[in-house]
Amino acid sequence: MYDKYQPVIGLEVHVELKTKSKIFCTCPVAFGCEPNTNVCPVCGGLPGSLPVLNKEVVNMAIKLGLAVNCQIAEYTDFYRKNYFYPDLPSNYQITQGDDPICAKGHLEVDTDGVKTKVGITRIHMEEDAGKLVHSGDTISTSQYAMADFNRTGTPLLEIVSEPDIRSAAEARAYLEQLKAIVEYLDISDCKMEEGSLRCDANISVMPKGSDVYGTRVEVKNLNSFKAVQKAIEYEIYRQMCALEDGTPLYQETRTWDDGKGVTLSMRSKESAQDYRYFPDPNLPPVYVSREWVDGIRESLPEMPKERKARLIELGLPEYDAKIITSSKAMADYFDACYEKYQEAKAISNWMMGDLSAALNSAGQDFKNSPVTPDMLVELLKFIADDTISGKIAKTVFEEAFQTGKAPGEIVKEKGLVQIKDTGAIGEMVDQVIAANPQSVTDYQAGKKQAIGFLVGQVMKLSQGKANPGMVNKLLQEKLSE
Amino acid sequence: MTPEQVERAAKIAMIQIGEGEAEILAKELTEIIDYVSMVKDVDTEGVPPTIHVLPISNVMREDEASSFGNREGLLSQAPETENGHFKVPRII
Repeated sequence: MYDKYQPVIGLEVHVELKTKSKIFCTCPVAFGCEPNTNVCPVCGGLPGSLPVLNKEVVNMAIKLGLAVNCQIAEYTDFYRKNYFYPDLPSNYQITQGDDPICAKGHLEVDTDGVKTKVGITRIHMEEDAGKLVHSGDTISTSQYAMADFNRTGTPLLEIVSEPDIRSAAEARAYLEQLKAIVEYLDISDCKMEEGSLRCDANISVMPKGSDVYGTRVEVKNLNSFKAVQKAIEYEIYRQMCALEDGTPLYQETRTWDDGKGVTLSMRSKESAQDYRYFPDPNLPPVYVSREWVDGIRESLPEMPKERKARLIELGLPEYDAKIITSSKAMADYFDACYEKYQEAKAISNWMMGDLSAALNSAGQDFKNSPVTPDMLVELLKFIADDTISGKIAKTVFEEAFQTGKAPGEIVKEKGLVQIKDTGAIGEMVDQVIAANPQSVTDYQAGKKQAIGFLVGQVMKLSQGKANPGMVNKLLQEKLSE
Repeated sequence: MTPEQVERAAKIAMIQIGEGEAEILAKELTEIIDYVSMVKDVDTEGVPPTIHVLPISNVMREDEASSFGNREGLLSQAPETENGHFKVPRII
Protein backbone atom coordinates (compact mmCIF):
# COMPACT_ATOMS: atom_id res chain seq x y z
CA MET A 1 0.00 0.00 0.00
CA TYR A 2 2.81 2.40 0.96
CA ASP A 3 4.38 2.25 -2.50
CA LYS A 4 1.10 3.24 -4.17
CA TYR A 5 0.61 6.55 -2.36
CA GLN A 6 2.48 9.78 -1.83
CA PRO A 7 1.96 11.65 1.47
CA VAL A 8 2.07 15.47 1.30
CA ILE A 9 2.77 17.32 4.54
CA GLY A 10 3.05 20.96 5.57
CA LEU A 11 3.70 22.24 9.09
CA GLU A 12 2.47 25.33 10.90
CA VAL A 13 4.77 26.08 13.81
CA HIS A 14 4.16 28.66 16.53
CA VAL A 15 6.97 29.85 18.77
CA GLU A 16 6.43 32.05 21.80
CA LEU A 17 9.05 34.79 21.86
CA LYS A 18 10.95 35.47 25.04
CA THR A 19 10.64 39.22 25.05
CA LYS A 20 10.43 41.06 28.37
CA SER A 21 7.03 42.57 27.55
CA LYS A 22 4.02 41.58 25.47
CA ILE A 23 3.66 42.38 21.78
CA PHE A 24 1.27 45.35 22.07
CA CYS A 25 1.48 46.43 25.72
CA THR A 26 4.07 46.61 28.52
CA CYS A 27 2.70 43.73 30.60
CA PRO A 28 5.54 41.33 31.52
CA VAL A 29 5.85 38.05 29.60
CA ALA A 30 6.17 35.57 32.46
CA PHE A 31 5.06 32.05 33.32
CA GLY A 32 3.61 30.58 36.46
CA CYS A 33 2.27 33.88 37.89
CA GLU A 34 -0.98 34.29 39.81
CA PRO A 35 -3.88 34.40 37.30
CA ASN A 36 -4.59 37.75 35.64
CA THR A 37 -1.70 39.57 37.32
CA ASN A 38 -0.01 40.38 33.99
CA VAL A 39 -3.05 41.92 32.36
CA CYS A 40 -3.85 45.52 31.46
CA PRO A 41 -6.64 47.28 29.52
CA VAL A 42 -4.80 46.61 26.20
CA CYS A 43 -4.31 42.84 26.44
CA GLY A 44 -7.51 42.64 28.48
CA GLY A 45 -9.34 43.83 25.37
CA LEU A 46 -11.02 46.85 26.96
CA PRO A 47 -12.60 49.28 24.47
CA GLY A 48 -10.63 52.48 23.95
CA SER A 49 -7.24 50.99 24.82
CA LEU A 50 -4.53 51.32 22.19
CA PRO A 51 -1.89 48.76 21.19
CA VAL A 52 1.71 49.86 20.53
CA LEU A 53 4.04 47.42 18.76
CA ASN A 54 7.06 46.06 20.64
CA LYS A 55 10.08 46.68 18.37
CA GLU A 56 11.93 43.64 19.72
CA VAL A 57 9.25 41.36 18.25
CA VAL A 58 10.04 42.74 14.79
CA ASN A 59 13.77 42.31 15.45
CA MET A 60 13.29 38.67 16.44
CA ALA A 61 11.05 37.99 13.42
CA ILE A 62 13.73 39.43 11.10
CA LYS A 63 16.42 37.31 12.83
CA LEU A 64 14.48 34.14 12.23
CA GLY A 65 13.59 35.17 8.69
CA LEU A 66 17.25 35.72 7.82
CA ALA A 67 18.27 32.43 9.46
CA VAL A 68 15.83 30.47 7.25
CA ASN A 69 16.67 32.31 4.03
CA CYS A 70 13.48 34.40 3.86
CA GLN A 71 12.93 37.67 2.06
CA ILE A 72 12.30 40.39 4.63
CA ALA A 73 9.36 42.61 3.71
CA GLU A 74 10.03 46.29 3.11
CA TYR A 75 6.43 46.95 4.09
CA THR A 76 4.39 45.03 6.66
CA ASP A 77 1.13 45.59 8.55
CA PHE A 78 -1.31 44.04 11.04
CA TYR A 79 -4.76 42.55 10.57
CA ARG A 80 -7.57 41.53 12.88
CA LYS A 81 -8.81 37.96 12.76
CA ASN A 82 -12.29 38.06 14.24
CA TYR A 83 -13.79 35.20 16.22
CA PHE A 84 -15.46 34.66 19.56
CA TYR A 85 -13.79 32.44 22.08
CA PRO A 86 -13.49 33.08 25.82
CA ASP A 87 -9.66 32.95 25.82
CA LEU A 88 -9.60 36.00 23.53
CA PRO A 89 -10.91 39.03 25.44
CA SER A 90 -10.91 41.49 22.49
CA ASN A 91 -12.80 38.98 20.28
CA TYR A 92 -10.13 39.33 17.64
CA GLN A 93 -6.55 38.20 17.35
CA ILE A 94 -4.08 40.72 15.98
CA THR A 95 -2.08 38.91 13.30
CA GLN A 96 -0.76 39.68 9.83
CA GLY A 97 -2.43 39.51 6.42
CA ASP A 98 -0.99 39.41 2.92
CA ASP A 99 2.13 41.35 3.86
CA PRO A 100 3.87 39.25 6.54
CA ILE A 101 7.27 40.30 7.87
CA CYS A 102 9.06 37.35 6.17
CA ALA A 103 8.27 35.19 3.15
CA LYS A 104 9.74 32.75 0.63
CA GLY A 105 12.42 31.05 2.70
CA HIS A 106 13.63 27.50 3.00
CA LEU A 107 15.31 25.11 5.35
CA GLU A 108 17.77 22.43 4.33
CA VAL A 109 16.64 19.32 6.16
CA ASP A 110 18.76 16.27 6.95
CA THR A 111 16.57 13.20 7.55
CA ASP A 112 18.87 10.33 8.57
CA GLY A 113 21.49 11.49 6.08
CA VAL A 114 19.05 12.26 3.24
CA LYS A 115 19.13 15.96 2.45
CA THR A 116 16.03 17.81 1.23
CA LYS A 117 14.93 21.42 0.94
CA VAL A 118 11.64 22.43 2.60
CA GLY A 119 10.15 25.74 1.52
CA ILE A 120 8.93 28.26 4.07
CA THR A 121 5.89 30.13 2.77
CA ARG A 122 5.84 32.86 5.39
CA ILE A 123 6.64 33.91 8.94
CA HIS A 124 4.27 36.33 10.60
CA MET A 125 3.89 38.06 13.97
CA GLU A 126 0.78 37.69 16.09
CA GLU A 127 -0.48 37.64 19.66
CA ASP A 128 -1.14 34.57 21.77
CA ALA A 129 -4.52 33.90 23.44
CA GLY A 130 -5.16 33.33 27.14
CA LYS A 131 -5.63 30.08 29.00
CA LEU A 132 -8.90 28.46 30.04
CA VAL A 133 -9.34 26.17 33.00
CA HIS A 134 -12.47 24.06 32.66
CA SER A 135 -14.56 23.16 35.65
CA GLY A 136 -15.37 19.49 36.08
CA ASP A 137 -13.40 16.56 34.75
CA THR A 138 -13.63 17.05 31.00
CA ILE A 139 -14.38 19.87 28.61
CA SER A 140 -17.69 18.25 27.60
CA THR A 141 -19.02 17.81 31.14
CA SER A 142 -17.81 21.17 32.47
CA GLN A 143 -20.38 23.70 33.70
CA TYR A 144 -18.22 26.76 33.10
CA ALA A 145 -14.63 27.80 32.46
CA MET A 146 -12.21 30.17 34.15
CA ALA A 147 -10.12 32.52 32.03
CA ASP A 148 -6.57 33.63 32.84
CA PHE A 149 -5.31 36.31 30.46
CA ASN A 150 -1.66 36.37 31.59
CA ARG A 151 -0.62 34.73 28.31
CA THR A 152 -2.88 36.93 26.15
CA GLY A 153 -0.70 39.19 24.04
CA THR A 154 2.49 37.12 24.37
CA PRO A 155 4.30 37.56 21.05
CA LEU A 156 4.22 34.62 18.66
CA LEU A 157 5.90 33.89 15.37
CA GLU A 158 4.02 31.53 13.10
CA ILE A 159 6.21 29.70 10.60
CA VAL A 160 4.25 28.17 7.73
CA SER A 161 6.02 25.61 5.55
CA GLU A 162 5.23 24.73 1.96
CA PRO A 163 3.64 21.29 1.46
CA ASP A 164 7.13 20.00 0.60
CA ILE A 165 7.46 17.36 3.31
CA ARG A 166 6.99 13.75 2.20
CA SER A 167 7.27 11.62 5.34
CA ALA A 168 6.70 11.70 9.09
CA ALA A 169 10.44 11.35 9.71
CA GLU A 170 11.16 14.33 7.44
CA ALA A 171 8.51 16.38 9.30
CA ARG A 172 10.19 15.61 12.58
CA ALA A 173 13.65 16.43 11.21
CA TYR A 174 12.34 19.76 9.83
CA LEU A 175 10.82 20.62 13.21
CA GLU A 176 13.96 19.66 15.12
CA GLN A 177 16.17 21.71 12.84
CA LEU A 178 13.82 24.69 13.03
CA LYS A 179 13.85 24.40 16.81
CA ALA A 180 17.67 24.31 16.86
CA ILE A 181 17.76 27.53 14.80
CA VAL A 182 15.28 29.27 17.09
CA GLU A 183 17.34 28.15 20.10
CA TYR A 184 20.58 29.39 18.56
CA LEU A 185 18.93 32.76 17.91
CA ASP A 186 17.88 32.76 21.57
CA ILE A 187 14.42 34.12 20.77
CA SER A 188 12.29 31.41 22.42
CA ASP A 189 12.52 28.69 25.06
CA CYS A 190 11.17 26.18 22.52
CA LYS A 191 9.63 23.79 25.02
CA MET A 192 6.95 21.75 23.30
CA GLU A 193 5.75 20.29 26.58
CA GLU A 194 5.18 23.77 27.98
CA GLY A 195 3.63 25.14 24.81
CA SER A 196 6.33 27.65 23.88
CA LEU A 197 6.81 25.64 20.66
CA ARG A 198 3.62 24.34 19.02
CA CYS A 199 3.07 22.47 15.82
CA ASP A 200 0.03 21.71 13.67
CA ALA A 201 0.38 19.39 10.69
CA ASN A 202 -1.52 19.51 7.39
CA ILE A 203 -1.55 16.05 5.85
CA SER A 204 -2.94 14.60 2.65
CA VAL A 205 -2.23 11.53 0.54
CA MET A 206 -2.39 11.18 -3.23
CA PRO A 207 -1.65 8.34 -5.67
CA LYS A 208 2.04 8.26 -6.67
CA GLY A 209 2.69 10.25 -9.81
CA SER A 210 -0.42 12.39 -9.35
CA ASP A 211 -0.10 16.15 -9.18
CA VAL A 212 -3.52 16.70 -7.59
CA TYR A 213 -3.34 16.86 -3.81
CA GLY A 214 -5.73 14.68 -1.80
CA THR A 215 -8.17 15.87 0.86
CA ARG A 216 -6.25 17.82 3.47
CA VAL A 217 -6.58 17.12 7.18
CA GLU A 218 -5.18 19.35 9.90
CA VAL A 219 -3.88 17.61 13.04
CA LYS A 220 -3.56 19.52 16.30
CA ASN A 221 -2.48 18.81 19.87
CA LEU A 222 1.03 17.61 19.00
CA ASN A 223 2.91 18.15 22.26
CA SER A 224 6.24 16.47 21.56
CA PHE A 225 8.53 15.68 18.64
CA LYS A 226 7.58 12.05 19.03
CA ALA A 227 3.87 12.95 18.89
CA VAL A 228 4.45 14.90 15.65
CA GLN A 229 6.04 11.88 14.02
CA LYS A 230 3.56 9.31 15.38
CA ALA A 231 0.48 11.39 14.55
CA ILE A 232 1.65 11.95 10.98
CA GLU A 233 2.47 8.25 10.56
CA TYR A 234 -0.98 7.36 11.85
CA GLU A 235 -2.76 9.93 9.68
CA ILE A 236 -0.94 8.81 6.51
CA TYR A 237 -1.94 5.22 7.26
CA ARG A 238 -5.57 6.19 8.00
CA GLN A 239 -5.89 8.16 4.77
CA MET A 240 -4.28 5.46 2.63
CA CYS A 241 -6.66 2.87 4.10
CA ALA A 242 -9.63 5.15 3.32
CA LEU A 243 -8.45 5.56 -0.27
CA GLU A 244 -8.00 1.80 -0.61
CA ASP A 245 -11.49 1.06 0.80
CA GLY A 246 -13.18 3.91 -1.01
CA THR A 247 -14.27 5.43 2.32
CA PRO A 248 -14.73 9.19 1.94
CA LEU A 249 -12.18 11.57 3.54
CA TYR A 250 -13.27 14.96 4.85
CA GLN A 251 -11.41 18.22 5.04
CA GLU A 252 -11.39 18.60 8.79
CA THR A 253 -9.42 19.28 11.94
CA ARG A 254 -8.40 16.26 13.98
CA THR A 255 -6.77 16.03 17.37
CA TRP A 256 -3.98 13.62 18.33
CA ASP A 257 -4.78 11.34 21.24
CA ASP A 258 -1.33 10.40 22.50
CA GLY A 259 -2.59 7.73 24.90
CA LYS A 260 -4.58 5.84 22.27
CA GLY A 261 -2.17 6.66 19.42
CA VAL A 262 -4.96 7.81 17.08
CA THR A 263 -6.31 11.06 15.58
CA LEU A 264 -9.92 11.99 16.34
CA SER A 265 -12.24 14.31 14.45
CA MET A 266 -12.72 17.71 16.14
CA ARG A 267 -14.89 19.71 13.80
CA SER A 268 -15.65 19.74 10.13
CA LYS A 269 -14.17 22.53 8.06
CA GLU A 270 -17.10 22.45 5.64
CA SER A 271 -18.75 25.33 7.48
CA ALA A 272 -15.50 27.27 7.13
CA GLN A 273 -15.13 30.03 9.71
CA ASP A 274 -15.52 33.54 8.41
CA TYR A 275 -12.78 35.43 10.24
CA ARG A 276 -13.56 38.75 8.51
CA TYR A 277 -9.91 39.80 8.33
CA PHE A 278 -9.37 43.54 8.05
CA PRO A 279 -6.41 45.88 8.74
CA ASP A 280 -6.18 46.88 12.41
CA PRO A 281 -6.91 50.63 12.39
CA ASN A 282 -5.04 51.07 15.69
CA LEU A 283 -1.71 49.91 14.29
CA PRO A 284 0.09 51.96 11.65
CA PRO A 285 2.12 50.01 9.09
CA VAL A 286 5.83 49.30 9.50
CA TYR A 287 8.44 50.06 6.84
CA VAL A 288 11.54 47.93 7.30
CA SER A 289 14.62 49.74 6.04
CA ARG A 290 17.49 47.76 4.52
CA GLU A 291 19.80 49.30 7.14
CA TRP A 292 17.64 47.78 9.84
CA VAL A 293 17.83 44.35 8.19
CA ASP A 294 21.58 44.62 7.54
CA GLY A 295 22.20 45.57 11.17
CA ILE A 296 20.41 42.44 12.31
CA ARG A 297 22.18 40.29 9.71
CA GLU A 298 25.55 41.40 11.07
CA SER A 299 24.53 40.55 14.63
CA LEU A 300 23.32 37.02 13.85
CA PRO A 301 25.04 34.34 15.92
CA GLU A 302 26.64 31.26 14.38
CA MET A 303 23.89 28.91 13.12
CA PRO A 304 23.79 25.09 13.59
CA LYS A 305 25.03 24.42 10.06
CA GLU A 306 28.10 26.66 10.38
CA ARG A 307 28.78 25.43 13.86
CA LYS A 308 28.68 21.84 12.71
CA ALA A 309 31.16 22.63 9.93
CA ARG A 310 33.46 24.32 12.45
CA LEU A 311 33.38 21.30 14.79
CA ILE A 312 34.25 19.00 11.89
CA GLU A 313 37.23 21.24 11.18
CA LEU A 314 38.32 20.85 14.80
CA GLY A 315 38.57 17.11 14.14
CA LEU A 316 35.16 15.71 15.07
CA PRO A 317 33.50 13.05 12.92
CA GLU A 318 30.34 14.32 11.16
CA TYR A 319 28.13 12.18 13.39
CA ASP A 320 29.53 13.68 16.60
CA ALA A 321 29.30 17.20 15.18
CA LYS A 322 25.66 16.67 14.22
CA ILE A 323 24.65 15.36 17.65
CA ILE A 324 26.52 18.09 19.52
CA THR A 325 25.16 20.96 17.43
CA SER A 326 21.56 19.69 17.53
CA SER A 327 21.16 21.53 20.83
CA LYS A 328 22.65 24.92 21.56
CA ALA A 329 23.26 24.05 25.20
CA MET A 330 25.30 20.99 24.15
CA ALA A 331 27.26 22.95 21.55
CA ASP A 332 28.01 25.70 24.07
CA TYR A 333 29.21 23.06 26.54
CA PHE A 334 31.53 21.61 23.92
CA ASP A 335 32.96 25.02 23.08
CA ALA A 336 33.52 25.80 26.75
CA CYS A 337 35.52 22.56 27.10
CA TYR A 338 37.43 23.00 23.87
CA GLU A 339 38.53 26.47 24.85
CA LYS A 340 40.51 24.94 27.73
CA TYR A 341 41.43 21.59 26.22
CA GLN A 342 41.95 21.02 22.51
CA GLU A 343 41.13 17.31 22.27
CA ALA A 344 37.82 17.48 20.39
CA LYS A 345 37.18 13.75 20.15
CA ALA A 346 37.95 13.06 23.82
CA ILE A 347 35.47 15.79 24.79
CA SER A 348 32.73 14.56 22.46
CA ASN A 349 33.17 10.94 23.58
CA TRP A 350 32.52 11.86 27.19
CA MET A 351 29.74 14.32 26.33
CA MET A 352 27.87 11.85 24.14
CA GLY A 353 28.56 8.91 26.44
CA ASP A 354 28.74 9.13 30.23
CA LEU A 355 27.66 12.76 30.54
CA SER A 356 24.58 12.48 28.28
CA ALA A 357 23.52 9.28 30.02
CA ALA A 358 23.92 10.81 33.48
CA LEU A 359 22.04 13.98 32.49
CA ASN A 360 19.22 11.98 30.93
CA SER A 361 18.66 9.79 33.94
CA ALA A 362 18.81 12.80 36.25
CA GLY A 363 16.36 14.71 34.02
CA GLN A 364 18.86 17.54 33.55
CA ASP A 365 20.45 19.15 30.52
CA PHE A 366 23.82 20.54 29.47
CA LYS A 367 22.86 24.05 30.49
CA ASN A 368 22.90 23.20 34.20
CA SER A 369 25.07 20.09 34.24
CA PRO A 370 26.45 19.31 37.71
CA VAL A 371 29.71 18.40 35.97
CA THR A 372 30.76 21.74 34.51
CA PRO A 373 33.00 22.07 31.42
CA ASP A 374 35.89 22.95 33.78
CA MET A 375 35.34 19.75 35.73
CA LEU A 376 35.13 17.59 32.62
CA VAL A 377 38.34 19.11 31.26
CA GLU A 378 40.10 18.46 34.57
CA LEU A 379 39.02 14.84 34.36
CA LEU A 380 40.13 14.49 30.73
CA LYS A 381 43.55 15.91 31.58
CA PHE A 382 43.96 13.40 34.42
CA ILE A 383 43.28 10.58 31.96
CA ALA A 384 45.58 12.03 29.31
CA ASP A 385 48.55 12.42 31.65
CA ASP A 386 47.96 9.01 33.26
CA THR A 387 47.15 10.47 36.68
CA ILE A 388 44.17 8.13 36.72
CA SER A 389 43.16 5.18 34.58
CA GLY A 390 40.12 5.24 32.29
CA LYS A 391 38.32 2.88 34.62
CA ILE A 392 38.95 5.00 37.70
CA ALA A 393 37.89 8.05 35.66
CA LYS A 394 34.37 6.67 35.40
CA THR A 395 34.17 6.35 39.18
CA VAL A 396 35.48 9.88 39.61
CA PHE A 397 32.96 11.15 37.06
CA GLU A 398 30.03 9.55 38.87
CA GLU A 399 31.18 10.97 42.17
CA ALA A 400 31.61 14.42 40.63
CA PHE A 401 28.16 14.25 39.04
CA GLN A 402 26.53 13.29 42.34
CA THR A 403 28.39 15.67 44.63
CA GLY A 404 29.53 18.51 42.37
CA LYS A 405 33.06 18.10 43.76
CA ALA A 406 36.02 18.82 41.50
CA PRO A 407 37.69 15.69 40.07
CA GLY A 408 41.03 16.76 41.55
CA GLU A 409 39.51 16.86 45.00
CA ILE A 410 37.92 13.43 44.59
CA VAL A 411 41.12 11.86 43.30
CA LYS A 412 43.05 13.30 46.25
CA GLU A 413 40.44 12.43 48.88
CA LYS A 414 40.09 8.84 47.77
CA GLY A 415 43.75 8.33 46.92
CA LEU A 416 42.92 7.34 43.37
CA VAL A 417 46.11 8.67 41.81
CA GLN A 418 47.58 6.11 39.46
CA ILE A 419 50.75 4.43 40.69
CA LYS A 420 53.53 5.06 38.18
CA ASP A 421 56.47 4.58 40.46
CA THR A 422 58.66 1.76 39.07
CA GLY A 423 59.86 0.80 42.51
CA ALA A 424 56.34 0.47 43.98
CA ILE A 425 55.00 -1.45 41.01
CA GLY A 426 58.14 -3.60 40.97
CA GLU A 427 57.51 -4.65 44.56
CA MET A 428 53.94 -5.67 43.75
CA VAL A 429 55.15 -7.57 40.68
CA ASP A 430 57.66 -9.44 42.83
CA GLN A 431 54.94 -10.36 45.33
CA VAL A 432 52.64 -11.66 42.60
CA ILE A 433 55.44 -13.68 40.95
CA ALA A 434 56.30 -15.24 44.29
CA ALA A 435 52.68 -16.12 45.02
CA ASN A 436 51.90 -17.66 41.60
CA PRO A 437 54.69 -20.09 40.67
CA GLN A 438 52.45 -22.16 38.39
CA SER A 439 51.58 -19.20 36.13
CA VAL A 440 55.24 -18.20 36.04
CA THR A 441 56.21 -21.70 34.94
CA ASP A 442 53.45 -21.71 32.30
CA TYR A 443 54.64 -18.38 30.92
CA GLN A 444 58.23 -19.43 30.78
CA ALA A 445 57.18 -22.68 29.05
CA GLY A 446 55.72 -20.60 26.21
CA LYS A 447 52.14 -20.06 27.37
CA LYS A 448 52.32 -16.35 26.80
CA GLN A 449 48.68 -15.75 27.71
CA ALA A 450 49.48 -16.60 31.33
CA ILE A 451 50.77 -13.04 31.68
CA GLY A 452 47.19 -11.74 31.53
CA PHE A 453 46.38 -13.48 34.79
CA LEU A 454 49.50 -12.09 36.43
CA VAL A 455 48.75 -8.53 35.30
CA GLY A 456 45.27 -8.93 36.75
CA GLN A 457 46.73 -10.03 40.08
CA VAL A 458 49.01 -6.99 40.24
CA MET A 459 46.11 -4.66 39.39
CA LYS A 460 44.04 -6.26 42.11
CA LEU A 461 46.84 -5.85 44.61
CA SER A 462 47.09 -2.13 43.69
CA GLN A 463 43.31 -1.67 43.98
CA GLY A 464 43.18 -0.73 40.31
CA LYS A 465 45.64 2.12 40.73
CA ALA A 466 48.76 0.71 39.08
CA ASN A 467 49.46 1.87 35.54
CA PRO A 468 48.58 -1.25 33.48
CA GLY A 469 51.17 -0.54 30.79
CA MET A 470 53.95 -0.38 33.34
CA VAL A 471 52.73 -3.51 35.11
CA ASN A 472 52.83 -5.39 31.83
CA LYS A 473 56.31 -4.16 30.94
CA LEU A 474 57.79 -4.88 34.38
CA LEU A 475 56.26 -8.35 34.50
CA GLN A 476 57.71 -9.24 31.10
CA GLU A 477 61.13 -7.97 32.13
CA LYS A 478 61.17 -9.84 35.41
CA LEU A 479 59.84 -13.07 33.91
CA SER A 480 62.52 -13.03 31.22
CA GLU A 481 65.33 -12.61 33.78
CA MET B 1 -28.61 42.90 0.99
CA THR B 2 -31.00 40.05 1.75
CA PRO B 3 -32.56 39.24 5.15
CA GLU B 4 -30.56 35.98 5.07
CA GLN B 5 -27.32 37.90 4.73
CA VAL B 6 -28.33 40.14 7.62
CA GLU B 7 -29.05 37.09 9.76
CA ARG B 8 -25.69 35.55 8.93
CA ALA B 9 -23.85 38.81 9.64
CA ALA B 10 -25.69 39.13 12.95
CA LYS B 11 -24.84 35.55 13.85
CA ILE B 12 -21.10 35.80 13.26
CA ALA B 13 -20.98 39.21 14.99
CA MET B 14 -22.97 37.74 17.91
CA ILE B 15 -25.67 40.39 17.68
CA GLN B 16 -29.21 39.37 18.56
CA ILE B 17 -31.88 40.72 16.25
CA GLY B 18 -35.59 40.60 16.92
CA GLU B 19 -38.48 39.07 14.99
CA GLY B 20 -38.94 40.76 11.61
CA GLU B 21 -35.90 42.99 12.16
CA ALA B 22 -33.84 41.26 9.46
CA GLU B 23 -36.18 42.56 6.73
CA ILE B 24 -36.00 46.14 8.03
CA LEU B 25 -32.24 46.02 8.47
CA ALA B 26 -31.77 44.49 5.02
CA LYS B 27 -33.63 47.41 3.46
CA GLU B 28 -31.75 50.04 5.48
CA LEU B 29 -28.36 48.45 4.97
CA THR B 30 -28.98 48.17 1.23
CA GLU B 31 -29.66 51.91 1.11
CA ILE B 32 -26.43 52.64 3.00
CA ILE B 33 -24.41 50.34 0.76
CA ASP B 34 -25.93 51.94 -2.36
CA TYR B 35 -25.03 55.37 -1.01
CA VAL B 36 -21.39 54.61 -0.19
CA SER B 37 -21.03 52.68 -3.46
CA MET B 38 -20.38 55.97 -5.19
CA VAL B 39 -16.75 55.62 -4.10
CA LYS B 40 -16.54 52.90 -6.73
CA ASP B 41 -16.76 55.62 -9.39
CA VAL B 42 -13.45 57.09 -8.27
CA ASP B 43 -10.46 56.11 -10.41
CA THR B 44 -8.11 54.33 -7.95
CA GLU B 45 -5.67 53.05 -10.55
CA GLY B 46 -2.21 53.00 -8.97
CA VAL B 47 -3.47 54.09 -5.52
CA PRO B 48 -2.43 51.69 -2.76
CA PRO B 49 -5.20 50.50 -0.42
CA THR B 50 -5.60 52.58 2.73
CA ILE B 51 -4.35 50.59 5.70
CA HIS B 52 -4.24 53.47 8.14
CA VAL B 53 -6.06 56.81 7.95
CA LEU B 54 -3.13 58.87 9.24
CA PRO B 55 0.14 59.28 7.32
CA ILE B 56 2.16 57.71 10.12
CA SER B 57 4.24 54.52 10.26
CA ASN B 58 6.77 52.68 12.46
CA VAL B 59 5.14 53.54 15.77
CA MET B 60 6.98 51.20 18.09
CA ARG B 61 8.17 51.02 21.67
CA GLU B 62 11.27 49.53 23.28
CA ASP B 63 10.89 46.14 24.96
CA GLU B 64 10.46 47.26 28.56
CA ALA B 65 8.03 45.65 30.96
CA SER B 66 5.88 47.30 33.59
CA SER B 67 2.82 45.91 35.30
CA PHE B 68 -0.62 47.51 35.18
CA GLY B 69 -1.03 46.65 38.85
CA ASN B 70 -4.80 46.82 39.14
CA ARG B 71 -6.03 43.28 38.88
CA GLU B 72 -9.00 43.93 41.12
CA GLY B 73 -10.06 46.83 38.91
CA LEU B 74 -10.03 44.59 35.83
CA LEU B 75 -11.81 41.72 37.55
CA SER B 76 -14.47 44.10 38.90
CA GLN B 77 -15.58 44.77 35.31
CA ALA B 78 -16.54 41.13 34.77
CA PRO B 79 -20.02 39.78 35.49
CA GLU B 80 -18.52 36.87 37.43
CA THR B 81 -15.10 35.90 38.77
CA GLU B 82 -13.64 32.99 40.70
CA ASN B 83 -10.22 32.71 42.37
CA GLY B 84 -8.76 35.57 40.37
CA HIS B 85 -10.14 34.20 37.08
CA PHE B 86 -12.82 35.56 34.81
CA LYS B 87 -15.70 33.11 34.92
CA VAL B 88 -17.05 32.37 31.45
CA PRO B 89 -19.83 30.11 30.12
CA ARG B 90 -18.98 26.53 29.15
CA ILE B 91 -17.51 26.30 25.69
CA ILE B 92 -19.13 23.30 24.04
